[in-house]
Amino acid sequence: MTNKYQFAGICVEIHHIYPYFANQAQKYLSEKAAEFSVTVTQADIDREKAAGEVATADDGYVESLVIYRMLCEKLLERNVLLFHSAAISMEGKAYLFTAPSGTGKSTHIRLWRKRFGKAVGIINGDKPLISVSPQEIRAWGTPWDGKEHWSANTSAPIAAICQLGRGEENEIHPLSPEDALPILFAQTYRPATEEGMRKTVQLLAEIARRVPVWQLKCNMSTQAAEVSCAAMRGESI
Amino acid sequence: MKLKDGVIFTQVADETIVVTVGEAAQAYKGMIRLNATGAFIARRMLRETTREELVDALLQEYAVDEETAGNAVDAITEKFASVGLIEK
Repeated sequence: MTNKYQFAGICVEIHHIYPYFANQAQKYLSEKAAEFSVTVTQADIDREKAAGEVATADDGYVESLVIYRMLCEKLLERNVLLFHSAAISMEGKAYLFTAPSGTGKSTHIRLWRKRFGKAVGIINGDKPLISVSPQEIRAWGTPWDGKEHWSANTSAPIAAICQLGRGEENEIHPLSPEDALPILFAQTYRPATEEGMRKTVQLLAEIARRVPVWQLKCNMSTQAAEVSCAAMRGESI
Repeated sequence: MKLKDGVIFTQVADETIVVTVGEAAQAYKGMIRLNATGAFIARRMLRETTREELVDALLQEYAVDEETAGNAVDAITEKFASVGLIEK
């Protein structure tokens, strides 16, 4: 199968085998001229399965992961990277929450929705892309959207990023760009090449310099959402 | 001693950032932040070297005594050994 899609504003031609990806990425179809193409073969899928983590998964699903990996390697050349996080929007700005798997990103997003209702929009619940340009640093929806399938083909400039951790009380404090860098790095797609890895570190350093990064210790009360929202929006608590 | 293949150095402001790809990434996927002295030592470990050579190089480059240089070399080599980035 061959189709053109647009991710992070960049049109890509994708040649692949299984219908899973075509269904998943329908909303991202594009008619523009492709800037580059990626081709997945059965050998790529088999290699991904042999690597272990998805050994027993459906080939169509694995193919979709392979496509995202191939895209990420190419998108990096265009100053775009995959940052594992939940990205939401409010009043036209994006707010990103990051945490190790199972540390409550989804729970925290639900608290924002409970507290702020329809003012909260979803960009992507799991694997949004971030583009870095001199003008802005922007979060983009993608069809790779985690188990909740929270995603929209939309984007917004990033106002703030917050690392979540569990706590008894709700406390938030800002991180210096130096301290933010390893935290961002831990949740970013790891390119295979040396050049790609250098580029990733430089882009993340730029993000850490230009976007406020916060660290939140939080419980599961709506007060947790009030605390993170106030800090990330630059309001006094 | 020598660092594993795939240890990468990149500069961010005043710090040298160490990350990994390939073989080194199998051992360690994190990020190490080094100051100028730490980077001076670690970069020399990209090729086969010894504690003695590293201490000598440090003594030539910086105005420090032998004990200070030795401690600095030990701290860096232990840091890299503890995350599995030194070849066995």
